[in-house]
Amino acid sequence: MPCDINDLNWLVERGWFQQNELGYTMHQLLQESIRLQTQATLEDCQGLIESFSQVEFIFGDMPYAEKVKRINYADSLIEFFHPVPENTGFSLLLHKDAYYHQSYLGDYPQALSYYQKALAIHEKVLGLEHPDTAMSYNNIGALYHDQGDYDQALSYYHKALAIHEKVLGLEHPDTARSYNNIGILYHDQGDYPQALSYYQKALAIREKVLDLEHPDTARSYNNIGILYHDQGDYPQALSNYQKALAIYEKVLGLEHPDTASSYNNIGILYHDQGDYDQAFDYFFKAYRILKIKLNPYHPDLQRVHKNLKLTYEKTPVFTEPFEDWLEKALKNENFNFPGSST
Amino acid sequence: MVSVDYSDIALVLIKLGLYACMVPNPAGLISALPDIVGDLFSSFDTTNKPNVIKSFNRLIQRSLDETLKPYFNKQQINKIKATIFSVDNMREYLTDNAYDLFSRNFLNALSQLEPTKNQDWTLLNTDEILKKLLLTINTGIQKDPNLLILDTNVNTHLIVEIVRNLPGGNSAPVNYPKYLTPIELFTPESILHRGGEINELVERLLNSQRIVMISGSAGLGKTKLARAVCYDLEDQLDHIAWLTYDGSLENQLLTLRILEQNPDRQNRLFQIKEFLNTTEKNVLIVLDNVNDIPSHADLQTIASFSPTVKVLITSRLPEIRGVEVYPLNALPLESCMDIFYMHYKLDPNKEQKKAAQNIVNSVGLNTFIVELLARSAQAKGEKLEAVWEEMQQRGFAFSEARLATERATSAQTLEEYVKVLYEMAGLDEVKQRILRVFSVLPHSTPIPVQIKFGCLAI
Repeated sequence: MPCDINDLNWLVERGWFQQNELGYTMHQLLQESIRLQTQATLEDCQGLIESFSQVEFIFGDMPYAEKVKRINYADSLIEFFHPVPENTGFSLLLHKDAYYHQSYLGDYPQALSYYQKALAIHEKVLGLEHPDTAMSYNNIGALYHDQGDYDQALSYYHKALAIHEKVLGLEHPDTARSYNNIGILYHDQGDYPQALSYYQKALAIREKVLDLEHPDTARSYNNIGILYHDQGDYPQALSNYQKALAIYEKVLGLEHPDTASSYNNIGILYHDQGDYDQAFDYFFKAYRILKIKLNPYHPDLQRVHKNLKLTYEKTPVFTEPFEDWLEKALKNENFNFPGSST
Repeated sequence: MVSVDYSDIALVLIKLGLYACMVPNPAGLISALPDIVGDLFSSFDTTNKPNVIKSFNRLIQRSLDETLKPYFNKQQINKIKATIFSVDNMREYLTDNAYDLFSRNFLNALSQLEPTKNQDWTLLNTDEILKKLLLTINTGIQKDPNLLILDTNVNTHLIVEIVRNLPGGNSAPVNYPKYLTPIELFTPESILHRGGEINELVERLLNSQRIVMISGSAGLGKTKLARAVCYDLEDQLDHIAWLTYDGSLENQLLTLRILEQNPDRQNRLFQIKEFLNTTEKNVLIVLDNVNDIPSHADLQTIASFSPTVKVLITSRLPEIRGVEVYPLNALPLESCMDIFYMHYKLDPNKEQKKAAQNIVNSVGLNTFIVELLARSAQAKGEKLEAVWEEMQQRGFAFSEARLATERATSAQTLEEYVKVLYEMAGLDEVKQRILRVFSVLPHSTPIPVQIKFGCLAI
């Protein structure tokens, strides 16, 4: 039954809500009385559930305090329903709110509790072998991964993988994502052989199923590149970075942040080998893109800025202060660096 | 007690927390401390912290594995790790008591391990293990691009000293906005007959009491009174915040417009509290609807605020330990009648005036319900006699005789009143649904609701 703004105005006129420039407010006494008298149903709250589960609910460019407030709305909605409704729309909300707690509040225990509630719904409603159940396992794994609890993370990632392998098959992009996550986990632990093995499994699927020029395939090359880089195998690292870059440049374009990230990786590789000219060239390419695409506080932009500055200072040809030089260089479309090879 | 060499990374991390809250102006700092410190500060910009924390967590995990291997078996290592990682939030390790917490948890974990045949824990040199662990962490930092910014060669004591001695140093002006939360617009005309209360509350907050609680039953106008106090004090304040208490003061403090770019909850809370505990600015914080007894921790937080931070609480509770109470009573009948006629503007004849008095009296002079009834009658264009009649039929009102001796103010009775009002209002299913949906959202917080998906969305 659709409602429109007139219904809200009708209620405001009669004092059921206060309305001002910040929104609608309900008096606590009314809230309590209405809750006692008539319980909102899941169907009533469908609009809110969908709205809270949408990407733009919290990811937009809004002050942090606004995000905290919105997370409070979602919490309030979730806490209202006892017992937890066994409904996949509600489990999606639980997943999203868990993620908000994980990434915006750093509140891992609350995030875990919501993920587990969602998992319980998926296990019961969808069964133990459903891709959404696998998603729950995967998210819990990622939460443990974030906290550095590798054993728990691995156990959950494997549960997700087992479902993906069985239900979606050995050649499905989600199965590849599972392999990739486990690869990153081993990589973070410094277990390079295991990491490589999982990265390669993911890559093999992506090359076969997706496309040789799919961004996920590029991501696989990139991960393998970092792995070789970490082990000091520079030629292998470069070869993989370049494969990734070729795809990014072709598919995402020359101004995409992922392309910039690829430039930055190659820059670090050259830097680590002492080839500051090449490194500088790549860092500048990356910086030029990110400067336009990201907000000035973005960590990626700051990292590239730092790399560029460090390399600038190691290049004797440059004499003027870095920031002065940078300002000029950014203004000049066809700027050529002294000592640069391209 | 284990003694630890403090010239290591853990301290750098700790100091960074302090450091960030002491320096409101990065530009000033960077110019004063070129190169190393400037680099440290800019790299440690708050938006970068999730990566730092993530890497730091991983590093601790890895370092524990590596360091403990010679001494313990895998199961024991897992137990130690579980204790180290059992803190509610790993970010605790990045706050000012991080280092103590870390060693305490480590020792605690050791004490819980069951000795095995070949091991005697009392012979273990825990100092040595801790030192090795820190060395591993230090080495790890050099290898991790996210942590490299935490230059271990920096003499942290020196940084703190230099920052302290900067022009303006500790007490450099903090450029937080005047309104630390959105504050609803208030028109003084919207509150009637509370001038005495407003003046007394303003006087108390300005001159004698730092924390005052307006106490009274639901619907007497506590919140409106608090708004009026804010309005009166506004010109004398540097900062104002309006928080609706939901059982957690910390959640509410996070909605303040202080360091909003900092995504690290713990660090930000620490800095917000630090500001409120040390500021010399005139600040008023309204804590609206504190209807459950606040936790001890929340009360302590409020008690630690600086003397210039005044707190005005509204509550249905008769008292909260350690807080001065300002009891709010119902307005007399005459004043309530004025409120009724502020919202009911149809010209009443004498008969209707009598009905109006009955209506107002019958709801225990509860101004909120008086307002609801008046607005409803006004919107429907109803005669007051008809309203009064319906109220009586629905068992809403006490008899006139009973009214003389008894007033309904208990929360339970008020809820019953609202129930009858709800029935009287002639709400169709759509409107009932809107009210039901609103009732699941936090009350008393303005909600920027939109009509979407066939009903409400935000």
